[in-house]
Amino acid sequence: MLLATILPFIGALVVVPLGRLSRRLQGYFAAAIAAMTFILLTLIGREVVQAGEAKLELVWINILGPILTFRVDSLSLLFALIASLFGFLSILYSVDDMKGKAGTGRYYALMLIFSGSMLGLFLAGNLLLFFYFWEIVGLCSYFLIGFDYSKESSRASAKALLIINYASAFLLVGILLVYFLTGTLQFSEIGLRLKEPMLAAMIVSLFLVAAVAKSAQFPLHVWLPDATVAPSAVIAYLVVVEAGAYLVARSYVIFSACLPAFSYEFAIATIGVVTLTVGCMAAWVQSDVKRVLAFSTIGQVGYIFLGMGLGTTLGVAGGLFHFLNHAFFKGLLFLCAGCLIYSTGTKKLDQMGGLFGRMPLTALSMLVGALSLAGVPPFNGFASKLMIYEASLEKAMVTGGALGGVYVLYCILAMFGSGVSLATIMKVINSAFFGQLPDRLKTVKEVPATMYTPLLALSAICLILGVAPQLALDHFVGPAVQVVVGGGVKTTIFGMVTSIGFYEATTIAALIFTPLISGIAIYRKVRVKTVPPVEAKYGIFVGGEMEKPYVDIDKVKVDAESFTFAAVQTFNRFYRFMWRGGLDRIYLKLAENFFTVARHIRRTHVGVINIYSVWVVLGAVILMVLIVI
Amino acid sequence: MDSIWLALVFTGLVVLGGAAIVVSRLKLASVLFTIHSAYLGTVLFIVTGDPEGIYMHYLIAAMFLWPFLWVINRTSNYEEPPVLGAKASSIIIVLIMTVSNLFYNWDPLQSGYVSMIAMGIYGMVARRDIIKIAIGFNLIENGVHLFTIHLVTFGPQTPYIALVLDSATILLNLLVAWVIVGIYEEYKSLNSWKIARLRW
Repeated sequence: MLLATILPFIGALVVVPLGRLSRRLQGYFAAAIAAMTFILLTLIGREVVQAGEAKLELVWINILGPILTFRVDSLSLLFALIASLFGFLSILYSVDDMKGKAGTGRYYALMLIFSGSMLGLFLAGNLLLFFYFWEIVGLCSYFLIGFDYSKESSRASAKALLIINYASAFLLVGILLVYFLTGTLQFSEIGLRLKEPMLAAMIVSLFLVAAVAKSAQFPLHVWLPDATVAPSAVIAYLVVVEAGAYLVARSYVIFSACLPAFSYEFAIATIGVVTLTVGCMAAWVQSDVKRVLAFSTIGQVGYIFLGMGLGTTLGVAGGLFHFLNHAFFKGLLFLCAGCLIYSTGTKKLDQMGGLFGRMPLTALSMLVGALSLAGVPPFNGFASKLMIYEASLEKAMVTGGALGGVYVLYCILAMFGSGVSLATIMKVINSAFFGQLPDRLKTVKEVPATMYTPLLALSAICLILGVAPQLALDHFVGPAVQVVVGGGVKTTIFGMVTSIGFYEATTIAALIFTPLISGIAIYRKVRVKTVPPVEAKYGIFVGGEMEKPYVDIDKVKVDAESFTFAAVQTFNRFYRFMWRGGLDRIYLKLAENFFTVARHIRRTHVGVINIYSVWVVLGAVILMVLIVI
Repeated sequence: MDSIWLALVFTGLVVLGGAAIVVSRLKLASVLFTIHSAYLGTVLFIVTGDPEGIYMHYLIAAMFLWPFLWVINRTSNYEEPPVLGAKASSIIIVLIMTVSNLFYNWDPLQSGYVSMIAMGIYGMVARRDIIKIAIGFNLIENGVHLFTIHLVTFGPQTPYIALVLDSATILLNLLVAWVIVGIYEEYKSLNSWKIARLRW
């Protein structure tokens, strides 16, 4: 277990000097390290399945108790497996994506440290170790977002660092409170020693702030859309591995014995619903492919929070299953977007079009990811979203009264978000892959094998999890739910059963795919070769004007903006607020005030080390005086 | 060990550290500090019988010497003019040694670490050259190591803390050497007052 956590860090040290031999070798070496970590983790996974838990305790300084505690249960295993798998896939994808760019050694080293600390975070058995890794993850994301040192990326990385780290301060305060109240930081002992429900609620609320920022939830989501300037593999890895969701799930486990469940759960669910509505609607009108995906990530993580916040077995199962599915389809979509940018050199949807014929593998993979994201059966996103809808209805029925109505409203909003996601993603697919191919992109080719292999693997997983969700529910999500809330999801041989209904995913998939495939087969068999379409000979009919000066085909095509014209008209208040800067305006105002104060403090920062040393000595003297007093 | 020997050993340590701060030739100062650090490792081994101290301090010595000589070869062997000159520095360092000995009633171990920390702080405050500041910082760290050895009687785990501190120092030295070269390439100076432009 220790090896699995340390291996990426050792790899990071080795990978930098390898760049002198070959940059490609550097990439493959980093990918091999990530793959080995994944294999080690599956071995730990076997132990967890057999024994229910794997544990490792190293005593470092005895006064503080066992500090290096690693403890793996089904919940951590689920998150750690995803983290290490995506660590491998995104590094493999980077081999070609980073070709010819400067600083590959730094990139791979940071990616390995990032994945190693992510694993450490999920495998940690106490809060102190958890916090260490949490901070390393934050720092790595800062360095990776600002990887190319451009002004834009520096701003984005600083924004991410500030928001995530200010929120992490809340986590630290929470951890200190835990230690102060219980005298321990071990996950297994905190719940037993903490007796005061109100204090537990306070601690968990502090944790929640950190989780909300890390998972880019409303109102601390503003860093994620800007962070899309990072390389595609980085942003894919950043969004799929939801450390915040893990923290929420873990706090359920830690504080299960002493938490006044209702208010905490309701807060999480509300944050989830608001986020998913805002995220999905904001994604709808974006025209930059990565920003679309970033906002839609914010929305989808909202679903995860909603599921978790419902607090029922079905809700948590839905949340965790959606986390798993989201990891696969959103990772897939980000990597597809990376392929598009790699091939076309632009992020703007308006400048793409007609690429289906040029990049068929990317297009099909993106279609699979898009349909999963939108929650279209029989893809995997549908199964988990269905569980969340049903869980909120179930909660509404159990709760009853006005609050029950609120939960029904949450369900409706979740469904609305799903519809908006479908609209968004259709816009992306249409703008990128259909319509007229611009002249500029006539030479575009499919991406290299190292880039499309992860796409195909992820598409296959999305499809398999959609057709047979029972596999994931039985082997990964079920045991994790058992850890979090106890109980599990009932599955059948073809799907699952809930208290509200059942979903026979495999049967539905068979019903959809059989006619589809046979239809295509029949069409190919019996189709009659017709005369070539007229537009092949004369071009598309655009009102009789064929010469370039009169009609420009780029001007008359249906661009990305026209898809959302009606939406912008309907919700124009929301979008006007967003376009004026949205929540950023409030944060900027805060920052301005902060700077006014900081300007005075800044005078002490003269930049001379000697003066700083004097400050240090003065500080030490003041501390000593205080201690003596 | 005889207390007179112990006193001699610690005086040697303090004198070597002080000399590393006062000497204005950077290569000589680096070599003096390296001998100081290796000497400390040997003393720790002889006094405590603890092999970790000697390993770590030889490592510190080595890790200090080669990157810093590498840096000095790329920059300059002459120290930037300090805030206080050699004479004043010598007087202050002798003063530090005397006061700490008087304060701790001529106890070699305690006055040793206090002198080393104080001299290190003095080096960081009064010297303008970054390499000298780095030497001052390392001297503080060595003093802290000696302090943790002194603390062993209170908590048996303290050598581990020293071990972690030492490992951190080794990494920090490498990092500092790397940063110094970068600073020199950008500003063509190692004077910490001149490079104050390095502000964000």
